[in-house]
This record gives sequence, C-alpha cells and structure tokens, in this order.
Amino acid sequence: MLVEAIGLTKHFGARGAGVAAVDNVSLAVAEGETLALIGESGCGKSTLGRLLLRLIAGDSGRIKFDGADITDLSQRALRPLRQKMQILFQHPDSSFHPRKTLIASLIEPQRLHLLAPRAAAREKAVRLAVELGLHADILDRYPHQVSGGQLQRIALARVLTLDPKFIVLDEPTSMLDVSVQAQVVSLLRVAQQRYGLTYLFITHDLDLAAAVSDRIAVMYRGRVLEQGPPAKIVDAPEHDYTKRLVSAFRYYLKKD
Amino acid sequence: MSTATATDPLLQIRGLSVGFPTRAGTVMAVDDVNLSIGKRETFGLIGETGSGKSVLGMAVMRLLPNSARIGGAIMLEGIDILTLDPEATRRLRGGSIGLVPQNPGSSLNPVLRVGTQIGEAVRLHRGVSGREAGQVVHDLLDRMGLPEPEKTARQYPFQLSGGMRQRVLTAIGIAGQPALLIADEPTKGLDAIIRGQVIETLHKAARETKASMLVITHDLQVAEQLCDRVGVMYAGKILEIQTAERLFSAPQHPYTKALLNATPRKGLVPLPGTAPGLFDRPPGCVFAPRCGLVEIACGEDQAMRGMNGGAQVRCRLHAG
Repeated sequence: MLVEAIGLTKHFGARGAGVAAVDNVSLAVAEGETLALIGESGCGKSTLGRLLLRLIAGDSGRIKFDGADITDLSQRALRPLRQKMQILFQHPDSSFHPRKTLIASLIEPQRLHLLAPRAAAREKAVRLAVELGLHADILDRYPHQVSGGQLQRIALARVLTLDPKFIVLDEPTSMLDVSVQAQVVSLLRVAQQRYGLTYLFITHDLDLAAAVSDRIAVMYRGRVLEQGPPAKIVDAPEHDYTKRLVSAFRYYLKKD
Repeated sequence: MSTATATDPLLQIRGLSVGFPTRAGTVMAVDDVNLSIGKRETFGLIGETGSGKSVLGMAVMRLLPNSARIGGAIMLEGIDILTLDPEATRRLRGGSIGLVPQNPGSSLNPVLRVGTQIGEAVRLHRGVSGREAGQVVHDLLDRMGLPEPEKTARQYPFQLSGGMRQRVLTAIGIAGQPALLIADEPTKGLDAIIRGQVIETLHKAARETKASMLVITHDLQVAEQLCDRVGVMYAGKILEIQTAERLFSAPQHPYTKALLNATPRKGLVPLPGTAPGLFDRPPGCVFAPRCGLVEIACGEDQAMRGMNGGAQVRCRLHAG
C-alpha cells in the first residue's frame, strides 16, 4: 500500500461540541491504483484528502506513506515527502497567483524543492505542458487569460513537475463542462500510465467515479460506509445510503 | 409532442440575435436562433459555457443590458415582447413569464420570511392581498410538496434545506400564474439526491399550472428526464432540436454525438480542441474545426434543416 489511513479522526470546532468531519476512517490506496472517494457535499471527503497529505492535522489515527508512518513527522521532515504527495484542487482559478504569469507559477515549486536551476525548471514545465496538449505560448499569459479547462491542465502540469507518486484529485473536473471534463480525465489517465501515479479521486459524481476508478469508497457524515470495485458498489450496494445514492443516479422521473 | 416543431406554440423565437459592442467590434452571443415552445411543453436548452444559452434566456426575460444589440422577434402569445414598453415589461416578468433562478442558496432574501417573499409575487401579479394572499401562499407551498405550509411560510431561508429553498423559489416562479416558466440551471452545484427532488418539483410546477417551461441547463440528465424537446446550443447557434427521447438515443449533429460520448456513462471520450470564444467564431459551420467529418462544404454557413422523424439539424451531412 502506498497510502494508508488507520482510524483517522478529525473534529472541527470545540471537541465534544464540534463536528467529526472525519470519523475513525481506515482506508488504503495501492500503488498505481485510482481510489474514488464519493459522497455528498459536507461528508468529509475533502478533509480526508487533506489529512492524508498532512495539510491539516488530525485528532487521532495514523497515516502511512510509502511504508513510513508520517503522522508525527515535523514540517521539516515532511518537506522531502511533500514533493511525492501532491494535490490538484477543484478551483483552478484560485490555485494560481493572479499577478504572476503561468510559467512563473510552474517554475516555483521546483525552485522551492531545490530540484532544478531556473532554466531547467522552465524546460521541464514547458515539456509537461506540451505533453498535456497545451501550446507553450500560453504559459506566458496570466491565469485570467486562459479557460478553466486549460488552467486545470496547467495545474496538473505544475503538480507533475515535482515527479509525485501520489496525487489527491479534489473534484478536479466539477467546475468544468462535460466535454472539457472528458479531456482532463483522459490526460489524468495518460499521466497515470506514463508516470506510474497513484490517485485518490474525490468526486460527488457516482458515474464519474465508476468510470475512472479501480475501487470506490463511499463516505457519509465522516465515515467510510463501504469500499469495493465500481461494479460491486453500483450493482450490489450494501449500505442503505449507498443504495439511495445509486438510485439517485439511476433516478428517472415518472411523467404523468 | 412528436416533432421538432411545436404544433401549438406559446413562444416563438424568430431569427434572434444578441450582440454586445466591444472595443474590438460587436460580438455575437446568440446568432440566428429560431425555436418555438408549445403550450404545456417543456423545452430544454443545453450547451456548455459560452454557448449563449443563458443570454438567450435573459433575452426572453428582457433582462439584457441596454447596450445589447438585439435582432429578431420573441413572440409570446402573439405579442413581440421585444417591443414592450418598460411598464408592460415589468408586468411580464413574474406575470406571464415566471423565473426559477439558479442557486437557491443566494436567490432568497435572507432577512425576510419565505411567506413574505412568495406573498410579494402573489400581491403584485394576482391582485389579491391580505388574508387571501396568505391563503394563496400556503396553497403554493402545499402544491410544491412542502409539509406544514403555514409553518414553512413563517420560516427564514436559513431554516430550510437546499431542496426546500428550491421549492420556495419554484413557488415564487409560479405565483403569478405564468404562461411560461423559465428555469435557469436548476441543478447547478446540487448533489444527486437533491437533483432528483428538483426535477420532480419543476415537473410538478409545470403540470399544476399548465405552464410551458424553458429549462436552461448544462446538466444533460435534467434535459433528458424533464424535457419534451431539447435544443443544443454551441457558439451562439442552435445545432440540433429533437424530442428529448430521440436526442439522447439517436443524436444527429456531430457535436451532439460528441457531447453525449464525453459523459462518464458513455466512456468520457474527449472532444478534440476547445470551443471557439466570442472573438474567434469560425466562418461557416461553427463546429467544423473540431468535427471529424469536416469537408469543404462545411466552410459555408449551414441552415437548420428539418429531417424525417422531426429533428432539425444544422449540418451539411443532413442536407437534401
């Protein structure tokens, strides 16, 4: 297992009076796998993704990455690992500095991780952007000058500049049109194959989860109710909530 | 409704174009749109960001800014609403045309009880007041499937769930007994379970009031389930109009086919390229630069053509 959570719990607000956003969750993602995490808004799926990356601190439970327990690592000790565990956010337009050119934003992470001199960092960023079907010229623009779909591709290129092993994809296509979503998903698949990536794909869309993942974990009110291959979750859901979710997606209005 | 043309039209849009003047010239957001919506018919308008579907909806509500250059005609029950004076336009909105806005979270006034907000529409457009208006409010809430209408009417928006707020907004939309109800992106940002409720609510609203409905949406499932006929917009033009059943089972235009194939259920097949922006609309067929079936003839503007089976398609492949 590349990533593992054991009994992970996170409360927001005063403990006791607060809400358990993530409640005693255990799950694991195997190397090269795509695990889809589905659930309605507010179920804790994004919080879980952030906990796994140690972007926020949990209350209890353990997190393992690549065989090592990272739960109590200091920020300094985490640094080299951060490069290997990345996140792609839902809103590409707020993931870029509005007053920096896109190429500047693409170079910065490599510089922060002391991976390459400026010229080499630029070269790598451009190469990855072109691999993702973008024109190199576009990188000289500012974020507001490109479309949402292009921006999400550039965000993916930025993540890839760090040679990550694990990427949390936090609703990466929910702000995009159907046709652009298909483009971004197709690029995510290509990148996964080419670079041996492991994904946690967070989404509220059961159809999308079933189409992109090897396994699906269903989350509801902070808990993971069940996990299994898409066919199992969609055709033979065990939990009542999963059944409701599946029937909502198979919902058909009876006109009269 | 078995054909692409409404037999007994309530709304007829003829040669509608909407342009916005900019420093770089006038850009056309809506270009030569013709469509009709029958009495008691639900018509869906689908399209992706920038396709012009929202601008078209705003044109029908007369909500476009004064700078917009509008051409063509929008006939509602035989009257061209583009020629109405401001006073008549005010009566039109919320009266003959009801709107269910998107985003139930922010479309209600947070500091007024929902009964007050529905009551305002009732008093303005039905000419009733006092206890009678209150009765109408309760009746509307009841018809929208809200339990305990008297209690709900006294509540504030924050006390209601997202699904309930959507029903309150729908109640406001039908308060003026409109002939046409417009729903603008009714399911945007909603979870699957609530989405089903919204579809049911809108269907119920249209049926109860015998209104026609125009549903503007990027949600293909909403269009398929809720609508009788569907029009597909792309780069300011309508490329195809068909019954919902036929459009989703036998799409005709290459763009419609590609759009459906891009959905998760059909395998997420990506469309090459990007949709043209307002400033770089290609001459001729607007979809040609991304179409796999393009030929020289596609460089010429294509007319909307009627086909056997009732579909209307704007594509060279369906010529003759």
